[in-house]
Amino acid sequence: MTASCTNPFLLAFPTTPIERIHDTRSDYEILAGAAAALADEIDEPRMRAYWKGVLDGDPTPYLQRVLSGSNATRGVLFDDLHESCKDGVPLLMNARTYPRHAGWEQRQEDKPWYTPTGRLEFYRPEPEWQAAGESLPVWREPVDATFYEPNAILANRRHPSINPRKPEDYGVPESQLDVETRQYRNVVRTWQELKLSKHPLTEKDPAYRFVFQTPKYRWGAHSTAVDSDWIAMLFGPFGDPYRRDPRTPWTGEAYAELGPGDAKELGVSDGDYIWLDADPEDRPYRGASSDDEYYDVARVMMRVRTYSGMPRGVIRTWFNMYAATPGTVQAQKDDPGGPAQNPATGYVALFRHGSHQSGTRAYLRPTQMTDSMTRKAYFGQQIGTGFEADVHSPSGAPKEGFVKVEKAEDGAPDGGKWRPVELGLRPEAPSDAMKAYLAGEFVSRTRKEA
Amino acid sequence: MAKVRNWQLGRDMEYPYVADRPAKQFTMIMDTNKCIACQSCTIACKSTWTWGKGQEFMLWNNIETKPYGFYPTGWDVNVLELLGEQEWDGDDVYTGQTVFEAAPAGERVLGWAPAEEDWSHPNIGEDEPTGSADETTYIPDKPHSLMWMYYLQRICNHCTYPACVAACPREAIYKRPEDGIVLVDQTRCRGYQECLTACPYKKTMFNLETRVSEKCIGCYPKLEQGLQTQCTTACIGRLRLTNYLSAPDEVDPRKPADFLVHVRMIALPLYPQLGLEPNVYYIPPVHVPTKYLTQMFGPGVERAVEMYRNAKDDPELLGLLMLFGSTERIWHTWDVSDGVARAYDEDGEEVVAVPLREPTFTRPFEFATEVAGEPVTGFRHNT
Amino acid sequence: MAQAKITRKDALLYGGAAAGGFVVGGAAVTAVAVAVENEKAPVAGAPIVARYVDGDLPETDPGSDAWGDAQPTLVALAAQQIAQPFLEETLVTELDVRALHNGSSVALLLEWDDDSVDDLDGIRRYHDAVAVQLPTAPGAAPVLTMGAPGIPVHILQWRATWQRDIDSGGKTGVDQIYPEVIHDVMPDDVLPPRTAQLYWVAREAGNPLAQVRRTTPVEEVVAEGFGSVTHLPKQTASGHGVNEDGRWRVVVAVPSARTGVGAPLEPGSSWPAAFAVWLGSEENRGGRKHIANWQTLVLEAKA
Ligand code: SF4
Ligand code: SF4
Repeated sequence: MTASCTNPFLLAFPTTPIERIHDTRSDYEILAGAAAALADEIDEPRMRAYWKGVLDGDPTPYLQRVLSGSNATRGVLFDDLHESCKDGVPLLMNARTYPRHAGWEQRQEDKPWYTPTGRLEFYRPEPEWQAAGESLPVWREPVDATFYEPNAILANRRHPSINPRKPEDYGVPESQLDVETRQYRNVVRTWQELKLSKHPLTEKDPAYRFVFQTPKYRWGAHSTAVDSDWIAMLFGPFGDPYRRDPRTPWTGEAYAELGPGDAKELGVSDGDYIWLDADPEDRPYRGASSDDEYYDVARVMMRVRTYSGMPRGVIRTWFNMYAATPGTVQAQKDDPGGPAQNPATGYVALFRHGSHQSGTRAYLRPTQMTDSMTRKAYFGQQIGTGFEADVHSPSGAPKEGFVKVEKAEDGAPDGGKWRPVELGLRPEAPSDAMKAYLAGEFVSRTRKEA
Repeated sequence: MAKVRNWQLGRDMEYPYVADRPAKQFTMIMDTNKCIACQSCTIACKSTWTWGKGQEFMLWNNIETKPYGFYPTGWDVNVLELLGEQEWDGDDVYTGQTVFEAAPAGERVLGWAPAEEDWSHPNIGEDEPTGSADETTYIPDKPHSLMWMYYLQRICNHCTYPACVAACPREAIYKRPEDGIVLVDQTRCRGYQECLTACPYKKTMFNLETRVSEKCIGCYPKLEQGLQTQCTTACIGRLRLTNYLSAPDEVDPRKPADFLVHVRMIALPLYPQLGLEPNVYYIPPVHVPTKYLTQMFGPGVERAVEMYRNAKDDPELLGLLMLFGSTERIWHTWDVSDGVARAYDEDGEEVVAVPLREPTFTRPFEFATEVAGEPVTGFRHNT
Repeated sequence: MAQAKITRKDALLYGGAAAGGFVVGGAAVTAVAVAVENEKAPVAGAPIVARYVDGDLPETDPGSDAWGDAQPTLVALAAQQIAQPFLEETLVTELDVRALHNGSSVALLLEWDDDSVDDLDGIRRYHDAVAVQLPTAPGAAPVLTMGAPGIPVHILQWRATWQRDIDSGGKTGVDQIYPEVIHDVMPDDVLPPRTAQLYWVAREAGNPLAQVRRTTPVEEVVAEGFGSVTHLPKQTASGHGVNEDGRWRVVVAVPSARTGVGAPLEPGSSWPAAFAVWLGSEENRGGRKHIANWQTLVLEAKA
């Protein structure tokens, strides 16, 4: 069963007549099975009764509870939904409008917004917000992904509502810029000041000069972009089911995207392998040292794709690939040329070493963690204050870092450049034919005489 | 060599066999502007037809980002380079050489054989624009001269004059007389791979287990049941239409493919100058330099782009485009009235109706119903 | 000879010459046979004389001592340039042929230099092979175009791939071509075998090239012109090939009766015989091959 708050359709996937492949169980069967085993173990029949539907092979009561409990699906009988979907016809979500327009009843009618005043509010008076200097929407530099002073609030002119509690107010010197302090640091800078500042890592070592972003891949939620051999093959430019480059971890491979100008300066070519290092204070892990047993499991190595769309100084790696583990790194050592697959578990990494998260970490934002914020409840239309999962809570997704890059290996397995570069088909060194092709010069048109 | 008529070139050309047009021609129309390169089509095709051992690399349908995407590597750059200067006389007549006319001594087709590595990295160049974002990513002009890219949907073109057929010394490749689908006879093929060298679109592929060539079969078992292909029905962007094209002298403007290809000329063939009369037609992207598009789709691109830009004020065309991807069935005619486009089957029965503009319905706030004899009440919310 | 080519014109001429020579041919061939009896033949250009052997032939043994009794004939090879597609360059110029027969079968030992063993088929990966071509009816040699409509020829082709199919028990597919291949889920992991096999369409459709389980490395076909090769429903040929020290030694044998195919290869008769060699490493395949002009194969009368 599936639905979403933006999609007007409510769908059930009809029960498949095909038997489950291999010896697999769905999540709820695993939970039910564990509960049943525990019920027997401690002689508590209610643990079994709780999962009666699943254990009897009929999960519909649970699905019905979800339908009956949700505003936009109340009144739908699961069996009706299932029958209809078997014929290929989904049901409609029972929202105010079809299609659903967010905020419709607030905009078209007199329903209040989920704020203390019921209006749209652009000023946050709560003390936590005032302390953060964020009562009004302001621009803050990222905590790590900036060339300049981290987490600084940008304000070219003084403003009474931008008057945060400063590091000193918390007993922390303003000059303290370690990775933990960086994440909550209320300093206000003009662009003139900010522009002249440097990321503290650059101050220490100028090789640290890249903003590292790890956004979600556009076609994959979580790891779906690499979950099966075909999809991994289509993910990015290094796919090959035959693994003709024996170094590749699987049918596809993680990569870092660099602008061609940056790549050139670094002396790396399209398809080369690089090492990427973020703040050594806590990455790849605290106290890391290159002779640790697991250092090369944690430190990330990736291919380079030169990507003309990357702005100067920015490196991107998609956020959806399985990380290297001790088992996958060992597997590639034990069987050179083999995949990065742990023989004991079958787990496959898309990295030879490390992962995109070797270069990132999570940061907590105090304004996402207040006890005073008025907000809607996760379910229903109730209003409350403070923590509410997925509504007012910190999102710990590690997405950014500030890094340096070092070439690790040539793009071609036996040394030299990656084959498509050699063929002149990459922006780095286009052949004459490629140049003519890009310019559309193979074809000419002569004007017809009247 | 026989003389055959290639309407896309506006002239006769040399071909090893005499022309024998099928009763109707399988065609697919692609609106490149709507593709998001999700590869749903690719996976729909692969999970239907090329799941077998020995077919791992095989994508009968593939999506590549132009200009840096290729499957196999460099396919179109290579054939254009081989062919050299390609000249159109105005909009109508191609005066350059086709791959048949330019065939070297001892060969029937001017071609090149992809190396085995060329079939790796099938999604190379994904999302890669031209130019550089070193200075700025702000692009003020249209079409974009600095940075552009778009997605090209590729299946076998089921060409009227297939190079694969021309090159096969076994006559193991044939064009079905009933619908023009080009097939490799799996019992006759002896794996010489001449078709791989000859097909400029590189849409025949060698099965590593059965040692013979295979190619897109146009989902003919579906067509025979009146259904559109897997890649068409899986398309998220609703940009594909599986249909039939009439012979150029029997154009019927009531038929969707004839209308788009011959009447409005908004859908153009891929590299027509190669001379195969390919039967997949593309509505060109609106944001790409004309010179590049002319190289790829022939001289009609400016007119096609202009027409597409005006489609919102052109209900007949808009309605037809809205019907793309709205039904699994193959439909034959359409009309637009009262803001609704309707498609009909061969007997004139309605297959599907699609509004040109999605209507909004408003429901009452309070809601009461009965479920299994019990009253259920509640309130409706959007937010 | 390195750049030798046989053109369409040559082929037509050779065919014509053979046809014209048939009337005298019988006598000429007999004379040759007598000549072989009386003095040792020159190595090159001589007829291929199949000595009569009393007993079994070394049909699957290219290393057998029995071959020592047979006189090798050196046959010149040249790039095929009669029918498109052409082979551009001649890269093997000589084929050594010798023959034995025992009244019920004829065996030929074919040897040529090739230091690259190509016995897997893949993308632009082709196999080594050798073929013997015989007319189906006695008389003049047909034109050198693998027969012509109404004038079928009988061809025996040994393929290195087929040899490896046999030697390895059918392990000649993607796992051998690309040992590091990743198969996530293959049809036979989840489907019943009958259904899973349908993904090997050509194999299931019975294409002989698509099989990997086989009993002979030699395919027996008839042809009535280029591109018309037809696999015979009953396969009777046998053989075996090995590559040692950069040289293929391949035995190709066929029952003399040729039931349902052509006139029997009777002791005392002589036949035109043509040959072809494919170098897989040079992308030889199909018509892109090295061919020899018609030679004469003389089957010694029983002692
Ligand atoms: S696109 Fe290629 S494979 Fe398809 S019909 Fe044309 S020549 Fe043949
Ligand atoms: S399914 Fe449609 S939108 Fe997605 S890649 Fe294929 S053609 Fe493009």
